[in-house]
Amino acid sequence: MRLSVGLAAAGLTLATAGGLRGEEPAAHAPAYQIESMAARFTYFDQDGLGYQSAAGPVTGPGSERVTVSEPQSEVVAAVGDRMIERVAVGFDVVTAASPNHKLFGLPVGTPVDAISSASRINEAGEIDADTTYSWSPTTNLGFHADYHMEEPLESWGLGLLVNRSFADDNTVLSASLYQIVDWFDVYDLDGKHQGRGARSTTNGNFGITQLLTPTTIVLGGYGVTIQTGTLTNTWNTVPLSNATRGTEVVPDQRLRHAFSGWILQWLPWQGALKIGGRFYADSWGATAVTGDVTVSQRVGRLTIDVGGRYHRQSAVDFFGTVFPPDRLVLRTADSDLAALRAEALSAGLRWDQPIGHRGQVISFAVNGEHYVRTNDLHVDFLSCAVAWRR
Amino acid sequence: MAAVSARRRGSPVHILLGLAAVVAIAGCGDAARRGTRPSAAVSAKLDWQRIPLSDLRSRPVTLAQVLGGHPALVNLWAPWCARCKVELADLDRLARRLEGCAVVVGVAVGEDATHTADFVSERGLGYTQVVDESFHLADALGQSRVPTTLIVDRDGAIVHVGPEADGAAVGALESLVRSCCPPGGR
Amino acid sequence: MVPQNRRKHLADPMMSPGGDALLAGAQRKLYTSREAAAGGDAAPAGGGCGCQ
Repeated sequence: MRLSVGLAAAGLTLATAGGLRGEEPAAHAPAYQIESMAARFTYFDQDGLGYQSAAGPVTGPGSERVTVSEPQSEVVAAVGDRMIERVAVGFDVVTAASPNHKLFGLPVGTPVDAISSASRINEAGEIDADTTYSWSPTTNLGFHADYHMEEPLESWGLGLLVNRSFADDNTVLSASLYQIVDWFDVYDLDGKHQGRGARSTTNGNFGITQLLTPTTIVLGGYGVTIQTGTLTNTWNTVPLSNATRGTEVVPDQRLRHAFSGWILQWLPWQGALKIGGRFYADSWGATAVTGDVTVSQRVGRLTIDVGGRYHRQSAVDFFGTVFPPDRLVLRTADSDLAALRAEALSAGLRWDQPIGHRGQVISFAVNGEHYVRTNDLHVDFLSCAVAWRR
Repeated sequence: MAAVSARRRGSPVHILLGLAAVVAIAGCGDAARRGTRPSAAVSAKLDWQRIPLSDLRSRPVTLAQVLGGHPALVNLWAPWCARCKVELADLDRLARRLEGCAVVVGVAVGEDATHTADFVSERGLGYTQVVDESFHLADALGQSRVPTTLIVDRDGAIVHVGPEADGAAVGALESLVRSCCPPGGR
Repeated sequence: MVPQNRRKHLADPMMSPGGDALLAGAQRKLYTSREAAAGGDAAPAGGGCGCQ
């Protein structure tokens, strides 16, 4: 439930320092100036069991063991006095979910539940570009484009955003529209290639940012998402009552709603408290409540962050762990669509070191998170970053 | 480099708590919300110059002492303000160019002297800096934004108000000093 | 109403709603790929492959 960079940053830029005001340009605004750069490396380690995984007993949950190595980089630049551009690039190196069927007594070469037996490791990359333009002293426009590619899938996204501020930037209203199209290879549960599939995701968001006091900000938002097309992992399987496995069958449309709110409170001892809540409901029958708390504390040049997250969701209407073999009904055993609770604890340290005589700062950060789901899944990640800003 | 301009070192420091300043502050709460013009209560030329401020060593000072009857550019700014930081080096160069003819002074609004001194020192800024930690000056002038640039003539009248120290502000200042200072400074 | 010159604390990086953008992106990827309830709040639930 992290707010996107696009909406939150653009809105808050208007509300606080009045970064880009669209007034008469400063006398010496350079044509192009890099404002910040950052690089981050994150390692995810996931283990657990899920009924959609074939890497295990035929009727029982299979392995969801995965590791992901994710390098990322980001550059933010000011173009003249009215425009900010952000470009981020990321790569994922993902191990297959069940690389070794020997562990489960199945013949080597039996297709794994990820892609095919040849894909023990899956690489993915993405590039995101955001441009924010100050149309007037009270209005910002934003444009987003992204491209994601991995072995079986390509994803294109385009987004538009508008912010309008009121009452001397005390209130900012925002609206965005985001369209994603995915193309991917369809593999059945036997690992056979069955041509190409596609899905469309259209998302609209509305948000409000309100300055309450010189130390308090509140944010609220509503988002609606419509998805159509092939919405399943085509190689996901479900256990059948005759001790075999069948294909997952999900609807070809999904409508999602999400309401979220945040309070950001400055603490007088050089700290900050962020509390957020989110309510979600969709047309597949899933509902969810999420709560998020982060406390930050600055000690000299060191910033310490500690956070907690609680998520509780109900299962989709057609979730189960065993299905009759003779009827092709809506059915999924995907552990992500099950009723579950998830709790996460996170912590981070960041050191900000001034350099030179022009106010530039170089930062070093380390972050970690322990994520646990009640239905047999846990993920740990460790992340480190270096950043420079003007 | 010294946080306080060497050009001003040695001036006697006086604490002036005029009743006019207190009235000006109390009467100008609304002015802070009305935009960029000084309120009627402080249109008297020298009242706002007597509002007590601090120098970068936390010693009491007023703008009357700093300006000393010279034409001046008064820049209200804050270390957290991105647009303010962009023009600090330009203000430093302007101060050196007009040295002896006009005064360029930065007023750090809502900041303490120690933090402002560290910030100024890190950037090697040499022009005069004072601190308006409690917003008394900003409120008295009815200026609720940073950056705000005021051009003041020899009589203490504000002849220009704008956001940054742009061409219009610098031009207004140069027109005030033309008679005593040729273009390009001394 | 909070005057613009009183927004010092609101402009502090610790008060940024999104925080570190790259870290937020990594966390969002974790939550949206491991929980059904993604979508909305400006982080649309694209994909659905369950992959990273």
